[in-house]
Amino acid sequence: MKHRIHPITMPKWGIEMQEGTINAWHCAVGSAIARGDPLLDVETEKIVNSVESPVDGTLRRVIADAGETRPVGALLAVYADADVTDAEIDAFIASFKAADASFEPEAPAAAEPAPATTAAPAPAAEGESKVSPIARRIAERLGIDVSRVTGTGRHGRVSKEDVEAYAQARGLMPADGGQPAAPAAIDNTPTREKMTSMRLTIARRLTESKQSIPHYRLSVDVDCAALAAKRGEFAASGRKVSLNDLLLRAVALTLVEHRDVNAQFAGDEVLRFPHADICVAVATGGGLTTPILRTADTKDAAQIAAEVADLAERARGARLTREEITGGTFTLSNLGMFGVDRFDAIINPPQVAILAVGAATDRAVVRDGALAVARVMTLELSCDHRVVDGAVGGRFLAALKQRLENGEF
Amino acid sequence: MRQLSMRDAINEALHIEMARDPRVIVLGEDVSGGAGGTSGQRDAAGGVFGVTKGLLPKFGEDRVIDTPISESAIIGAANGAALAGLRPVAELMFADFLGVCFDQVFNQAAKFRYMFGGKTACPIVIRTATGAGMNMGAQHSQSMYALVTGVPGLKVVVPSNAYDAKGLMLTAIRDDDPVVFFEHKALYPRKGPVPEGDYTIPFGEANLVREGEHVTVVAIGRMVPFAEKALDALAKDGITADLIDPRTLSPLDDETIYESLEGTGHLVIVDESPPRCSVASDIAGLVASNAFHALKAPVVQLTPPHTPVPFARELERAYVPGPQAIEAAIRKLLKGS
Amino acid sequence: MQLSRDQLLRAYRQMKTIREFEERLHVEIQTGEIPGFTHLYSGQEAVAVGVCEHLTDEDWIASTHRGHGHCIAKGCDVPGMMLEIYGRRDGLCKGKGGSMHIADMTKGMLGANAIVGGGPPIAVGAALACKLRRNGRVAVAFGGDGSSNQGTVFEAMNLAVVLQAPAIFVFEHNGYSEHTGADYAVGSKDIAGRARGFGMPAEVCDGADFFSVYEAMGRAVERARAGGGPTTLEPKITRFFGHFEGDPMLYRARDEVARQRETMDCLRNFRARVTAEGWLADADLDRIDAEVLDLIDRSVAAARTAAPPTAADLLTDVYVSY
Repeated sequence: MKHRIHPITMPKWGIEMQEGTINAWHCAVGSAIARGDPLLDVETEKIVNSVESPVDGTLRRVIADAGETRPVGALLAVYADADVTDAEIDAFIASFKAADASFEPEAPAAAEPAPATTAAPAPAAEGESKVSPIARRIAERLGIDVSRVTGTGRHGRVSKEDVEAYAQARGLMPADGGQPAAPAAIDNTPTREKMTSMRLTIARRLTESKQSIPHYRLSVDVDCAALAAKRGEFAASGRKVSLNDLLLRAVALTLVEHRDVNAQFAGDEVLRFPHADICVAVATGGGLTTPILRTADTKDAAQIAAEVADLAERARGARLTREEITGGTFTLSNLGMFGVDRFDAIINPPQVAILAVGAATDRAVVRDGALAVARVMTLELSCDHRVVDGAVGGRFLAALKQRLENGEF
Repeated sequence: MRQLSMRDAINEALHIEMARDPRVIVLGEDVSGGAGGTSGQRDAAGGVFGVTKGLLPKFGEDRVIDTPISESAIIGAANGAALAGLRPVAELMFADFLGVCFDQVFNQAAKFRYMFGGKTACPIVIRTATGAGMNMGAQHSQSMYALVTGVPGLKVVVPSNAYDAKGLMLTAIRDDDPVVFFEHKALYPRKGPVPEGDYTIPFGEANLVREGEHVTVVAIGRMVPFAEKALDALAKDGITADLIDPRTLSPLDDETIYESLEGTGHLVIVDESPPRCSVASDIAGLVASNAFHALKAPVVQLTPPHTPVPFARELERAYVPGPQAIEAAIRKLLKGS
Repeated sequence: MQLSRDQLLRAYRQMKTIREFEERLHVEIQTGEIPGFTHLYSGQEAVAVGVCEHLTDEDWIASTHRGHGHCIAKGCDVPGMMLEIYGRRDGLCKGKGGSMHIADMTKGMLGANAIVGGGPPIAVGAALACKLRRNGRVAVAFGGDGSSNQGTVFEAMNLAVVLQAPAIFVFEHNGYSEHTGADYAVGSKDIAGRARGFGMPAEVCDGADFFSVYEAMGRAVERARAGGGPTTLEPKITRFFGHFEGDPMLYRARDEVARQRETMDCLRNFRARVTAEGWLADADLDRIDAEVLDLIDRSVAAARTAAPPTAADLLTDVYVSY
């Protein structure tokens, strides 16, 4: 098939898919791209996936930018041969008719933004008072004796609004917040950005974790001398590993000896794992993601360094597979690079613990009764008390400190 | 409040009830998926619409049972397990497949208790995906609830939103009678507020979705959000309606309809099943018998035509009653009176 | 069973047409232009063609939800099928049926069927009609390993034996009933054995090898036409795509399809065999490839711009008269 102009449209990937969000373009306007190369990443409610180039061509026009959500079939970009003029492309775009994959009946009606005006409630009439089922349900939920509520509906029927008004008046239910007064002089209008589905997922999971898991934290200072020495050994043999890679290995080795921490909480069961699948927190443009370093305890620091680098790079390009971000038995989050001394992290459920790593800094320490300067970092372990008791967490952290300071990794 | 899709709301209800009651089992085609596959991955489907996703990892293969493609055996086995003390939730992938296993539904499950003189009960739930709108053709798009509503002994549920779906599912599983639970596939992704934890919605109690003066609209399943859209448009002209969502077709809360008609005198019934011997015609008949004096105009039954569900997009869009058709029907009814 | 040059060319063209039809649909479905959901037949071409090359327009077949291959092999009009899949007014079923309900009685095609196990009893009835008319015609019921677990299929097989109907049951054993493996769902793991249990002969053949299917079907059809009653065939095969388009196939090993496209491709096997034997030249096959590609291009282009049905079409064809 020879096409001088070829449209790139929002793909349909599943029976139920209706729209997708563009996460990233991998190709700039004007550049040539071969059939099968990744062209852009699209995020749906279910997955992030790459759209491969369907033909060889040159990307001449991008119509929808990263971050935008478009229905299935919408025009996203245009390929064209070099001899196609801009005017021809404009004409192609103007005449392009998108596939209509909507499940709505009838022709899609034009949106009407005007708010619906509701008629004033009819005055209460004499006679028996009735209660709408939904009002009864709300009253029951709020523990309100519905016979005390004055009905304003037809024939004095008690409506949902009546119960809610009654409840609000008595502080049984929060009232709608009033509009804050606008600042007078300085314009401080916020920009608005739609949260990506990934960001919404992060928000939901972290809220769930913070609200439902009884967190407690333990912290310990670790002398980094042995870590630095080990890193030096690697560097001497020409292999580059970071402090964090070494830390991952030490954590993995400690986890498999403390399976109470290398665990998941599953309702009425605790799953303890023989190997450590450690989630490594990576900040990406789209938000936090935690790819998993599988069976970290079986890998040496150099292997870990290579895998983490690969995972982090693909995480930033939103090219991780579902398997690579599902599961995990423990999470390590390191904010040392920002100079953060210590912080407390939120557990990534169904895991039961997370380790927050601060910056290694020179600090005054007491050694053999005298003040000395040592490179020290603070580790803070957040534990789920439903599964990990204080002594269990404490033992784990002590063992980790010992391993790190003795160079056993 | 937390927003959940209807899919996730039903999934949550199944999680809650399976955790609470060890007698509850789930069985059907691909309810987990991946058994006997080459990837070794179980829970590879979680039902073809993902409603039962996550149940197998949590409750295990004994209680989350993938079956061969054998609808009669699925419903029959659920019946037998129910008689023997379990509380099965059987999935029929599409409601159209009732055609394959209808004996087990209407000769067996529906009649055990009566035939056996009240000596036993058959507490099964048949979950099934219903409705048109996704161009799945004549054998995957039907609304067949009228067919089971007419069978004494069966209870019939058609939720219109996520909140109701969760509460009704918990009631359905706890109910001691056989329940057919129709889940509209176009509503699965639709989100609405759903509280955490355990709550139930009683059978036989309609939801008065909106209150108004001029007309009573009874709508079922996906027709409820469509009717709300139509009423939004009518409100601009000062036309308001009582919008009644029966939620359960058997038992049916007909009292709420009569009561509403006392105020409005006008009735529009919106039903996605074909017009003859439908839920719409059933309600119209009940109203004619029990609330004739309240009617100021003939009852309007807004349904698809008496045809199978067509495939082409244009045909299916013409087939399903939508917001504009509902709006037009109400305007016409009120103008005529 | 030696085929003539024309027969070989025709068999290849049929298989190639099915393959290109399905591979092209796989791409076009992602544009969102095609309504509904679609089950592709890629990988199984040798079964439909190996069976249907023995049949005429007066013989019958009953198909499945994965029916495009059966339709093409039985002679349904390819552009007309494409129009139907796009939901167009001039489609083979006027846009009312769609991918899962393509039928053409003039070609002996009793319809694709969206109910697993819906087809076999229908095929037995068609076979009964052939028997009563003593016209030497047969009826074939296509199904998968999944359908072999339906009660309707058991009933149809028993009835065919009881009536000694000229029916042939073809169970395309592609390893998966939807998202579940046949190793799990087919209890005996032996569909041919089940058929023998009903009292009919049964044969397993290689669904990736046109000649294996063709020869097995030859024996079955000869028996049926001679009044010898029903037969079951169990071609072992795979499908190259998911249960439906959009199925992420989490139940299949990641490289399974890529591997099977290397080892179980009936088109590749056919080409290797006929060129090695010197029956056909590569150039013969390449020419067919180009012609088929052109046919599919034209079919898609026509379907994309064809007129949809009108609202009035909704109400026709429900009854013959009313």
